[in-house]
Amino acid sequence: MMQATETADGVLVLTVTAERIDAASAVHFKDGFRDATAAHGGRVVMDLAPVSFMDSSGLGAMVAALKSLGGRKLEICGLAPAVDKVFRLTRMDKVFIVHEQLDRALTQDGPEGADAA
Amino acid sequence: MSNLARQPRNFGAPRLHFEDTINADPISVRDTILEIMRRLQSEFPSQSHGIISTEIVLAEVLNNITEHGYQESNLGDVTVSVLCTDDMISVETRDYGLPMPGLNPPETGLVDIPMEVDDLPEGGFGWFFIRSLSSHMEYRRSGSKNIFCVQIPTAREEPDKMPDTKPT
Repeated sequence: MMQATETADGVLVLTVTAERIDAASAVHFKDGFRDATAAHGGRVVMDLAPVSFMDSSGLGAMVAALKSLGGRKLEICGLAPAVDKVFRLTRMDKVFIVHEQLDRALTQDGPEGADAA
Repeated sequence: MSNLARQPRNFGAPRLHFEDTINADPISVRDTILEIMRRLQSEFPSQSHGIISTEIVLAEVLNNITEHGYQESNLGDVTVSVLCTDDMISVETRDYGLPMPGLNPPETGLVDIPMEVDDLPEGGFGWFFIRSLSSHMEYRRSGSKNIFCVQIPTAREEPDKMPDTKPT
C-alpha cells in the first residue's frame, strides 16, 4: 500500500499507492506503515497524492500511524479535496504537519521548519 | 400543511440515481460508493462541496451498518437509495441489523481533539462527519428494519458549518 524511499538527507518518504484509505483498507494501511517505518528513526513524510478518498476508518489509521512513531511528527502532503476535508473538519490538520506537495515538504528543514510553534 | 400545490419554483421531481441491495461488507460498500459517485457525476461537478460531502457521508453511514448494525459479520443486506433534487442529495438506507442505541443516531463524541498525540482518538469520527456534513437526518426502526435517511445540501457553497478552525 505504500512505497518507501529514503532521500540523501535521510528523510523517509512514503508514497501511498492506494486510491482509497477506507474501512476496507485501513488495517492493511496501518500494518504497511509500521513495517515501513520500523527501522527508521528520522523524518517521515507521507505523500498522499494518489489518495482520492479517506473515511473515518482511514483517518483513524492515520492517527494510529502517527502514534506508532512514538513522539515523532508525521508530515503529510498532496491532500486531495476529500482528504483535506476530513483532516480540516476534525482539526487533524493541526496535529499532522501538512505540506502542499512533496517537493515543498522536502525543501523544508523538517517539522521545526514547517511549524515553528 | 403541504405546500406542494403551490410550489413557488419549479424544483422538479426528485431524481433517483441509485437503488440497490448490497451485502454489508467493506469491499461491497466501497464498490457501491464508487458506482454512486460515478452516477452523480452526470449532475454535479466532481469536486464540488456537495459531492465530496456525499461521498464521506455515504461511507460513514454504510460503515456504521457494517460495523455496528451487523457487527462486522459481513452478513446482512442493506438497501441504498440515492435521490437528488436541484439543491440536495438524499441518501436512504434500509437494513436488518441491530437498532441504533436508544433508537437515535448517536451524538458526536468529538468535541475538541486533544493536542497530546497519545490521547488522540482513532475512531468516533463517523457520526461527527455525518452530522457536520448533512442538513437533515432521520432514523426509525420499523419491526426489525432500520430506516435511515440523510440529506446533504449541494446547491450553494456550504458555509462551513463547523466552528471555525482557526488556530489559537
